[in-house]
Amino acid sequence: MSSAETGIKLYLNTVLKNKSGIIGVAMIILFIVLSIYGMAAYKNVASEWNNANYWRAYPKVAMPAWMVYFNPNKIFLTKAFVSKPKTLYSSSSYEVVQVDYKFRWNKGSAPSDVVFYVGTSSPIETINIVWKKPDGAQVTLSQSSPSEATDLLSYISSLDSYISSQIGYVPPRVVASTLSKALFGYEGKGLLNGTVEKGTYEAKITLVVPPHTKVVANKLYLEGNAYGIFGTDIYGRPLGIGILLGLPNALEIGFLTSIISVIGGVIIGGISGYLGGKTDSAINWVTLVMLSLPILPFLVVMSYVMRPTLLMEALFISFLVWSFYAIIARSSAQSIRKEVYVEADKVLGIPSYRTFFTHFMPRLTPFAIAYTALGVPAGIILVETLAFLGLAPPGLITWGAILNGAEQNFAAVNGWWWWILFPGLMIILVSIPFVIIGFSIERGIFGGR
Amino acid sequence: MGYRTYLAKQVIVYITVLIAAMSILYVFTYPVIQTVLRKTIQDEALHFKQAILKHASGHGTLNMTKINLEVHRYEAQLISSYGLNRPVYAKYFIQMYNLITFHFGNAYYLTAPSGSRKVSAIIAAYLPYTIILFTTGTLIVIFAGTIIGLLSARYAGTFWDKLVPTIAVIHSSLPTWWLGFLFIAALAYGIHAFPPGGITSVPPPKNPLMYSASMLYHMALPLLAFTIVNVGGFAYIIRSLVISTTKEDFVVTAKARGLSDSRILYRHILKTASPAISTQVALAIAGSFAGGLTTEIVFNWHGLGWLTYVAILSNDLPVILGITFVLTVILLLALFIDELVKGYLDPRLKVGE
Repeated sequence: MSSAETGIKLYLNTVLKNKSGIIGVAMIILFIVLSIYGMAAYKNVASEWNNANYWRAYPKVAMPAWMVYFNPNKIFLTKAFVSKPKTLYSSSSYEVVQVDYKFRWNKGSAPSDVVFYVGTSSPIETINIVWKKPDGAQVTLSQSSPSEATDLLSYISSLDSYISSQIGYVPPRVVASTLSKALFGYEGKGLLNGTVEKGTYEAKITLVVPPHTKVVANKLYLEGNAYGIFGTDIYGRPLGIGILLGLPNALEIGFLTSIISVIGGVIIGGISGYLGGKTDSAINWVTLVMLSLPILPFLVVMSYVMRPTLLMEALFISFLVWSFYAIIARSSAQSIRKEVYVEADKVLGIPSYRTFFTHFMPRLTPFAIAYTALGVPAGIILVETLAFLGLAPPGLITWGAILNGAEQNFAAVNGWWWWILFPGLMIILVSIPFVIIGFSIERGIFGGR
Repeated sequence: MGYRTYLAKQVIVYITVLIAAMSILYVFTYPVIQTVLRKTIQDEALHFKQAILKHASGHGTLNMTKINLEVHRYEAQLISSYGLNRPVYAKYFIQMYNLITFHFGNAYYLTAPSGSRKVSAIIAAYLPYTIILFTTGTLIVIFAGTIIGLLSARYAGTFWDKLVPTIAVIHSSLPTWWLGFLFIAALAYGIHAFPPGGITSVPPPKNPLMYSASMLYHMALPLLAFTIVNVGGFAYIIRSLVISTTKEDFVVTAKARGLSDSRILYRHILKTASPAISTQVALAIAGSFAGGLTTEIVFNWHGLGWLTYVAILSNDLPVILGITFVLTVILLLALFIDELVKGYLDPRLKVGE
């Protein structure tokens, strides 16, 4: 420990004096601002995160939108078309409404999905879609009592029979993009080989609805394969929103675990080193026990058995990691104990708790601050790891859980790199400022090199 | 205190630590353990009944009342042997005894490759792979970390020295499993330079030499991820230990005697710092344990970490509890071995100071 004065001002100075410290503080402020923005702007989205229906109109596993610039022919954003509905027939028992779309398609690949959206004032009885390709070939899709938004998977029976009439069999694993290829490919054996007919397509949607039904809104979505800054996952959830909403949770748990465990560790270790003797060896034994517990397996058992909330999770982690800080605090306290002014206090008969608070705690603070900063990323990584194992506190959006989704849906095999890269990068990005600040305080106060 | 006294003391300390660790786990999982045991007993009673029925049907006499009575007796016997009808303190001792003798009960769903449903058999089947991966990784980190740390301490102020804080930052902010995940996407599926996971190629080579070669090839990526994440922190510690030893008087004396730099570094500084380094090894092992285990999941490396993940997915509580106990024992063994090495390296212990 240096002979420098102690106090909050000193640490602020140490941090703000060097360039990396300023960058660190700026990054933390930015993260906090982003968290507040995310919580305010996407408050409703957070509760719908695990509701697959909510994300139906979004393109599934779409690349980040900026990838369009690298390959505009094959990578594109979602296109939406609106048309004017016409009433073809109306009687006292039902009405027939037609919505007609015409659009040009000149991209090198088919959309990832096609979504037909018709908002009506009363439920639709049947929907019938005639899809006309540029060369005149026609596909008919139909369904009774459909939901407002229907994607291609809702017409899978019509499309499967169309595919098997063209190529002779139905491929084993049919997903939305397979069906979309069927709607955009040349008829014949090569229907699903990925070549796309370019030209003007036409989609005639005929609805049978109860009388006096109004078509409030209608839209035809040609789902792109690129969306948002960070792309989307397999349910169509934009990863950008997931990353933004994961930020406050990560910061909260990082701060909580770090502050609780460092304060606990420094007080216990400080008292242990300060008192010495039998108390010291007893506390030291407890510290040794806690240090030799395998943190992750214990956390797994605790979170599995109790399914704790965020606060409980923070308490569990703190319970398992305070010993690291206690050991270091103890050795610092032992060296302070030998100082003359402590002896002087003893001779003067000043009660030991006062000596502890006036002489020990202030000398232990710099170290506590440095380790609080370093403890934040440690807590974040532990929680994200737990979430990756599927043990996140329930109802929370975490990057670990997003990555768990990537692992379970074979993102690496399928080449969905954005789903793996960005959530993990955020874990690192959030950790970096704390590590920088922690190291710079540690170096400044302990004399570093 | 000679080396033997030191050894005896460490053995006692670690045994008490093991017991304490188990007690903590017991307190946290007490209600769950009771359900696990009850389910195990029901399971075994059912097996017992089926065995009797099979036997009896062979002989043509089926007395259901008698059989049910037998099964009840067997169940009662099991309940008393697991201590479910005993007071809490007796339950505690029975549970501790069962843990130490590796009796974890039966798994709910998972089975060992041999077909056994005993948790201990399942764990024994996967444990060797965890030990292989983690031990190799830790040894690589210790060697590479020491070399990098020494280089940066020796060439203070140059490229090597500036490298270490940077990789130390990486160490504190990078999850091992995520790096592994990224490696799989890029190096295994992207450019096909490495296998994406598994322990050996399928089917496993018959030739033992080829088998180990295939295993090493499959270990390359997990080890790379493990090393990149952990080497920085270790090198940083070595660097500060070496630098603080360099300021000692005897190093100045050695310099004054005109000894060469490398001789001072290896014979004087490193020798003095080695007990402190081995203390840091213990902390590094404890710290990298979690990362090593989760790496197994992404690489489909069938060790205990992977087994934990599977057990979580299939809600197999007894397996999770058993793994936690086994991992605690392993970590304690690793720390104990490190303690022995530290005692061996510390000359003060040898002369019995």
